[in-house]
Amino acid sequence: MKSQTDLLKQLEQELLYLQAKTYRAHSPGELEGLLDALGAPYAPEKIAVEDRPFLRDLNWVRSRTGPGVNHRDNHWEAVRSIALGLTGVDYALADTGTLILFAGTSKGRWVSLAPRIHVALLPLGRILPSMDEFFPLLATPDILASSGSAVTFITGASRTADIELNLVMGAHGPKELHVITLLFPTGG
Amino acid sequence: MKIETEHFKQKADQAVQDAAMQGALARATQRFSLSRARVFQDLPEGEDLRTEAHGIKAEVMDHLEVYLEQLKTSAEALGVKVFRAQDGQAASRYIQDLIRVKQIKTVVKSKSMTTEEIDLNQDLGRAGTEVWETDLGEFIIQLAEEPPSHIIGPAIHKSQEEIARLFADRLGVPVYETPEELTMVAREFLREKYFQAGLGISGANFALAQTGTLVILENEGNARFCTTFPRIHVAVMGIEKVIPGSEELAVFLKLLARSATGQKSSTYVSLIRGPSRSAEGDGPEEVHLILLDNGRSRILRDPILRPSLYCLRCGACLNVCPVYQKVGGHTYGWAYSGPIGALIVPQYLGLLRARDLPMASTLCGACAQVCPVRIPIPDLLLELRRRIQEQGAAWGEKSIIRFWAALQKHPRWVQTFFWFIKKMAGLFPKRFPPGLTFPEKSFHQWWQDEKPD
Repeated sequence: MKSQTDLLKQLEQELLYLQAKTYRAHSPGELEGLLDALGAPYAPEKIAVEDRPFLRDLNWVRSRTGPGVNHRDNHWEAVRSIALGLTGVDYALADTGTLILFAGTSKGRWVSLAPRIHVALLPLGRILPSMDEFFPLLATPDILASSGSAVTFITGASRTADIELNLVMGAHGPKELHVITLLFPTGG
Repeated sequence: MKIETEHFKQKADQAVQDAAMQGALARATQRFSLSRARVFQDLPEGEDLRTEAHGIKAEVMDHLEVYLEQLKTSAEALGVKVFRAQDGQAASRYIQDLIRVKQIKTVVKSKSMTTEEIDLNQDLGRAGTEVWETDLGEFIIQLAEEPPSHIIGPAIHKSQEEIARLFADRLGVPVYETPEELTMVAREFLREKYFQAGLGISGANFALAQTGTLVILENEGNARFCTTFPRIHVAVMGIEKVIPGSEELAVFLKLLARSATGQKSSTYVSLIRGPSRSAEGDGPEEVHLILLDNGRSRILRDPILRPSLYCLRCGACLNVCPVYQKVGGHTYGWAYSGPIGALIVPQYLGLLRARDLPMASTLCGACAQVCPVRIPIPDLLLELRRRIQEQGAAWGEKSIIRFWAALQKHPRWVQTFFWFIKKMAGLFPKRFPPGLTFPEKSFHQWWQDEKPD
């Protein structure tokens, strides 16, 4: 069986092939530094964060982002203006470079979809070898309940090749995908 | 979509002259085929997975009604409204009623071959609803008012210059010169539509009977928008797309993107489990699932042709077909083209209405070699040809075939027949094609003389 570190290497290789950027954060301090660098070009009101406990607790989230956006309350203007979306990741699949996000825990599917840049924070322990390990997990009652109304597999940034087969990133969803793997305990 | 399957021959004659279209198709289909071949090499289970997929589909089709009932029960338990539509009209009426009751003005759609099949956009357009295709390729052909030319790349026959002029004409933007700029035009334009739309319509690649989950694959993110932003989501799915559960889904997910575009996975795979729950920040308040029959149960009752229903709509058979590559998708005259179109279109529309389509095959078998669910397409095309001959051949044609069949059963008659033809050719040379020569001896005679004792 592969170790988590081997799985991470495989995942990063697949993500590289998919033109996503990968980073490793060994400590909360390193994570804050990476987020500072990625978020630097954007004003706080241009950044949206998923509503997850772990993300709420980040200093960077508290100090550098604007008020949460909930599109149910008719925040289209706000959704339109967001440039960077920060999300967690519920599981990842090493063999295909796939990130899996649950609607139930993310509380806002649009954050990984509408902004031009998607930054995803992945706890190391959540990397699985392939979907053959994921689907049995999803069938367990607790995880199924937490998954909510939608489970989304994200494999790279949005893309199209509909115009003379030219690959264009950011067809409708994000143009850039940045994956930061968290190599420290995150408490959840 | 106008059905033009009767004009296959005329359209094919025109298409074979169209070098630009063939060039575009050659580039696209070669790219898809090469990527497919490469990515199958990395698949641990290899081509055996296709046999497994075939087995799953066979099992489901043998008990389709059981799986559909299970799907209905489990989807309804999640809060999905399930409607079984006998035909396209019933599906279209259901959606139109919903649009009227909910006073919806704008509809966004993600790519769905099933809604192409039932001509949904035309119906909704006639009723005064604004309908937008959101997949870039589908958006392009919607603006151009053309049918799709390939299951996976609906607009692969269009050049960048054509698209640039089309966008300038129809959307009032400058004539852009790069694919990036053109893609951004569509992105910005359609994003406003997602915000305005009261209803999102999608297809579904799979539905899981055990859990009521709908599964949608895509690369652009437009299907995620269509199924997240509007308050109502309607999925239109052919009844044959139901599978038992996630174990089987894993098999198909490994095969579908690999077969279609040569990707290990599509960029987005959405597993939708009913309407949004109260604690979630977004997602539709209502989800409807329309299970469309539209002739499928008739095919199901036919034990020989039943495997036609296994199709996943990946387009791999188009990419390897020598006939498709020369005549292109529009020649087939309806929503489905290539080998799978030649197989299913006559079954949906009527054998005689699309009688030329099963003939449009060299029977080379390349399609069967790449089909992710191992549909024996050439065998089934032969069966269709046989039935078309039975049903529709003229009296004269039938007599000739009967005469030929009788002849073949009697070697002596065959010898006599060809002796006669040879004599006639000697007597009336002008009646025969110039340059036609007969050998001294027939093979039969030669064998009699030369065979070792």
